[in-house]
Amino acid sequence: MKKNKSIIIYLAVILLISLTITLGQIKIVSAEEELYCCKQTKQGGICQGVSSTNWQENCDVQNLIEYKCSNSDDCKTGVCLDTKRGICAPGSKWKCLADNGIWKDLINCEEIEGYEKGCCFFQGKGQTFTTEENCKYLYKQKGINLDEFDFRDLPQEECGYFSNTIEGACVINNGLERICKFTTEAECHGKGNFNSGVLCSNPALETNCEKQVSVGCIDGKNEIYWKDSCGNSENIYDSDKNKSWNNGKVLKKSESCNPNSGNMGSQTCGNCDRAKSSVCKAKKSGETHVSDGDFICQDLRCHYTDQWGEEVVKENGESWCVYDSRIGRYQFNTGPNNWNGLENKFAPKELIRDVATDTVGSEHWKMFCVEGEIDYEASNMRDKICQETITLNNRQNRSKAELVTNNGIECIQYNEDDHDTMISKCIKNKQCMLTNIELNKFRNGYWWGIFHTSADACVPRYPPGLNAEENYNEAIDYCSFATRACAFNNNNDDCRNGVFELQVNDLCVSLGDCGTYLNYVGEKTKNNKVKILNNNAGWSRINWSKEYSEYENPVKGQTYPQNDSLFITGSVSKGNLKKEKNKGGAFGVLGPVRLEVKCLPWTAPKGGSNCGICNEDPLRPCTKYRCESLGQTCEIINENTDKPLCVNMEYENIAPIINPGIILTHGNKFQNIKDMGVEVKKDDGNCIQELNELSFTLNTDEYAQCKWSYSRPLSPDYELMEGDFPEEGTLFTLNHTFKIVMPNLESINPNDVVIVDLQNRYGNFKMYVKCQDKQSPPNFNFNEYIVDLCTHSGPDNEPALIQKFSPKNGSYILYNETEKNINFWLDKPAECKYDLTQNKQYNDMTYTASCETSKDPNSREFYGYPCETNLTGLINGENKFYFKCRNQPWLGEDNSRIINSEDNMYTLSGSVSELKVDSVTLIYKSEENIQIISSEGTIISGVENISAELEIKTSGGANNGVAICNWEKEDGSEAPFFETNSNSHKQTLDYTKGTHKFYFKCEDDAGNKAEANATFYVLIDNKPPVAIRAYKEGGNLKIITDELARCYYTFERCNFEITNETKDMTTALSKEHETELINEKNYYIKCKDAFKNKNSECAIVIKT
Amino acid sequence: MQKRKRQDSFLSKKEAQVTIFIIIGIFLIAVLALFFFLREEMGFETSGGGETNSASFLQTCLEEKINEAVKIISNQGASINPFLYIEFKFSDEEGYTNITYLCYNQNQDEYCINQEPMLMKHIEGEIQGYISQEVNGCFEDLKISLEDQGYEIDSLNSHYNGFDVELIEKRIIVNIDGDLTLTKSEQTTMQEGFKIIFPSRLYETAFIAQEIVSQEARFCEFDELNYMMFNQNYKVSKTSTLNSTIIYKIEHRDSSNKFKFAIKEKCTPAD
Repeated sequence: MKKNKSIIIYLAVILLISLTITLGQIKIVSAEEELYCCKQTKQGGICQGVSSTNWQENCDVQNLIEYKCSNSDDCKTGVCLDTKRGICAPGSKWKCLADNGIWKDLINCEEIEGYEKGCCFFQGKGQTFTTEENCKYLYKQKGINLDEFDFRDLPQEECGYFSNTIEGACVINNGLERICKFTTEAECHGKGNFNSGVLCSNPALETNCEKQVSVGCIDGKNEIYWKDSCGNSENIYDSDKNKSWNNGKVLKKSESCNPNSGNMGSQTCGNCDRAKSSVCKAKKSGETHVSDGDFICQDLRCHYTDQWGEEVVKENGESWCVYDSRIGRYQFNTGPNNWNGLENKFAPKELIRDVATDTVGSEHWKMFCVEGEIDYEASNMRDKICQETITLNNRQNRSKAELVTNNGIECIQYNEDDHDTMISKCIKNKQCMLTNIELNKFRNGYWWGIFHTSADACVPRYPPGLNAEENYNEAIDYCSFATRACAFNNNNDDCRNGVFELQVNDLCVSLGDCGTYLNYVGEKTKNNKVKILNNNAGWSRINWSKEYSEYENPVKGQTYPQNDSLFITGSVSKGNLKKEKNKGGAFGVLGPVRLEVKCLPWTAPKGGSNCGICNEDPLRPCTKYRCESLGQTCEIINENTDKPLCVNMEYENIAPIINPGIILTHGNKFQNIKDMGVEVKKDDGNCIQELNELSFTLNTDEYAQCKWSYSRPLSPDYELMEGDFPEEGTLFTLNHTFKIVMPNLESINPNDVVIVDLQNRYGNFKMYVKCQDKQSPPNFNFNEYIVDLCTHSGPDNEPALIQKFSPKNGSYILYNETEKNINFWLDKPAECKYDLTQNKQYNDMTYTASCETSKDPNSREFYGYPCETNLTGLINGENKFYFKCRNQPWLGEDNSRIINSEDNMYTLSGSVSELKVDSVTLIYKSEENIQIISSEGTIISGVENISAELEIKTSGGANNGVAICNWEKEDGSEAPFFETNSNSHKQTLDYTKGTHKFYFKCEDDAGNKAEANATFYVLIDNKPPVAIRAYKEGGNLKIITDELARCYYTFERCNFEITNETKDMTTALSKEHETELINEKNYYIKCKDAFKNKNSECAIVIKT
Repeated sequence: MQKRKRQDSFLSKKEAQVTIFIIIGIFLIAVLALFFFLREEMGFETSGGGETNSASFLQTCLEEKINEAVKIISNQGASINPFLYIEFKFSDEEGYTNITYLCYNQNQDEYCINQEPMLMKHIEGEIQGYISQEVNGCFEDLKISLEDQGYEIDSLNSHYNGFDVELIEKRIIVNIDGDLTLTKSEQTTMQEGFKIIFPSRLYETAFIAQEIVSQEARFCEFDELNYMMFNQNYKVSKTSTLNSTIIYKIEHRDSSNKFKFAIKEKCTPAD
């Protein structure tokens, strides 16, 4: 299980990297790698994380900080104040200070007085949503007196729509005539007489402006207006002129024609309304217009034909999801008459199939309607999932789409947990789905997986895309998660009749861009390999052309999150490989023949006849990923433009040329290199020892797919060749890796066997290799490339080497754990012993490990020949073990068996104490104060929603409290802390009024666990202070409030705003407030508490 | 009768001429009144130089260079010579542009880091650097122009001490710190401080850019659709490219002034 765990973690990390890795010269560092901080990279990036090992690539030494940026003084992110302009933005400390800004160690600009955003009104000249300080700056720049400063605490939506402008006729009498301008009072001030609510064409004003001579649009307004002969705007256009003119007075919008409609295209009414998707626009040639001018209420809605040919209308501002293909989980019962590709008389009556269906090259699209035009935003290799919700707005359904992060990779990580936890997490996460291979239906059959030992697996419900071309090693590893094997007695077993093959491919497909599947235009390619392990043969039982039909078509009504259909897969606890293996006989008692279904990365169809499809839809433009999914010879051009194109590479007819690459195993080399072949032998020219691993690469001069076999192919055609793929599987690559275990002479049919003596025998054999290129039809090698090999079947003079330990050397173990089961793998079969004392002779070593001693190459596992043992007597500290192995176990006590001359040391570090959660705190920073509370504590806030930082601290365990902690709330929300893998774990969350109960679970590298819980209460203070007493003391007026507050007063009225200029009765927050008492004055007093709750009228009025 | 007639005719001609002059006068006064009434809206408050109209001279002299600076800065994400940038081409453009990353993180799973927390100041500095030689040159040209107009310039009491640039709503202001002592017809006048104003929406578009960067740096997302709902005079669009780069384009709908910049990040937005 531990083996599986480590592999899965590795795969997940690799996938994360491969999914996000990009081209370019900038070295990218994964989140897992330790980071240093670079104040300014060579590329010019400010405060960037750089690899702690390769920082020189990106950073000059004088700019390097040997901590994470978030822990460094210079690069910590806070807020940067531009005090001249009153603007605040997030920024790193040194950059801010270098630019003469003022830096503060805060998360949010709004925490600083004067930098909360609100609505800044410019005395009749409009308004803007900005900070109070910026508002002052703009006042100064506009030359508006600060005595008239008008900044209001309004949300953006109210500011945007707010208008404090009362318009009217501004009449200037210059002695010769009366000039009129329709404007605001503020603008008219000092220039003329203002006639509020009156039009310039009103005869009473005696101007020379004639009413309603033209119509037009007005800057900043949505409607069509009548205009007078002086060019002034009048009322909203109505073909009923008298009604619109309203006797020369301003007519409100709500009283103008058809106020409840957007009046799109109306020839009689210009009451356009942006909220109802219409706005005044000059008409275009051939368009209708209002009867009295060339303007119209333009329809801002978007009209389009959807993927099912239906006409759809979307309102301005509406957004919605579009998918390229069927998405998410699809469960179906094959049923007795629904066997698609499984054409076998032994097929079972029914089989529930379960597939995550997102096709290769498909994306999730968020479309939105902006001013009559449709725009889009898309996922990148399905790194986002489109979620659409419908809300009721003005009694109309409006859709709103969002691209949410696709965390499907977490689903794979769940498989490292124990079975029940995996199932619980998988079911809870709406981006995951639980699949299982139906063991009950296996007659006489057994199954096991190479990496995962349970019948159940958690996979992404919306599988992310896989960048197999550029990261093929990672892609091969990732897909191999679904490589499975089963054993069978006869061809009727579900293992062999195709059911197993089908289900493994479903699992494979569900990983995303793996297996035999189709691209988003419905072209299918085969990317799995059925192999009977014992004799290297194997063939598929499935007619794949009938499988996954029409998955390329989107399904109407599909969106995220998805509701499961009838067939919810439950937990199946049978058939666990580990259990079978622990019984000690899985390989022995199972059916005699093993069948493996290998899950390989998906490859695009050969050729490029479909490349152009990628360019057809301007609303769903082509990307490299989409283009390359359409064909092997499809290539994206104009990539860094907004109109990339997918084109087919030019056709050529030359087969790939194969050449030797490199030898990957120590002690071997290429010899006697010819045009169509090469020999591989030991460095000294001798044959390679049987059962030793040989690994080498062959290169092709163009991207190609290769196959190999030990026997000469019967047909020259690549497709007809029976054989195995190199490690790259079906991928098209330049380097092709061949990894074989040198067979013993009995297992192959060698030619030229030479018998030197009774023990030493040599045999030559050949590997036949063919490759084909990406073209359609493909060019392939007519004649095979031959790798000549020779194997030595005599005494092996090289010792066995341990290739890998699990848990790995130096791992931590649990506190008070006294024994530990470990596995290790050897490069060749051997027996191994170990001891607590160093440098002992092999025979004197105390303990013996259980190792695979068979010569059968099929006994070899992924990392080599397996051994396992149970280490006992472990202590809470360092535990060292010394291993030695003796090769060729089949020789008995023969002296020719080679033993390692040096010990192979293995260390396990016992945890020094239990892992503990020491403290849980919640930190709420507001403008007024910082509240730090522990469990059962209460935070008091003036606002409904607060953002506070949750912090827990851990100690003990394997590594001074360093652990990964998760939080979970009662409502079921859970996640790892945003900052974790340390002894301090932090997460900022939003809290509403009420009780917030948390559960915390932490686990360190050794598996030590600690749990804790906490309850926090949030109270909202939204009431203004109450003046409970007022009296005269000395010469002063004193008032007492019921809570800490600041009080202010004027002598004029209750309706005043508290500003810096207002008279203050309080120096700091207090319940007591006083000021000099002046007789015969009225004190209008207002108070404001710590949470900015202030009296709307007066807290108290004192008359003296 | 004839004479009388001629006299009447003469009188009526004279009266007609007076009427025409009055009408022209009224018209001129009205135009002037309207000009002063509306001048604030036109956005030209250039001042300095008094009767010699030195400020107007400087404005004309600098206009082309300023427009050039604004165009480059708006196209290249606030930088004249981008350092950290992506090369990108929109289909309505002729060539590729180097668009500056205003928010950037080269690593996995991390929010972007604001590269220009003092963006307005940075832009002012960029403009200042770009027009610096031009301002100096225009000041020298002004002196030559004044000399051509018959002014004597007292070189001991005439100095050019540099200039600064200020971005504000709807305007770019160039404040030239210089003084000129001029003598003509034995009258000596002194001019000091020239405030040159150019209409521009650069402040507004850069302000929106800063808002976008702030939100991307803090939340790893920016809801442009929501923003446009409340700021209808501006269109914000984003184009995703390779390498987790997003190109933002901000457009003032009425003037079609645009501002483009890039961000790069690969992160999980906070829900």
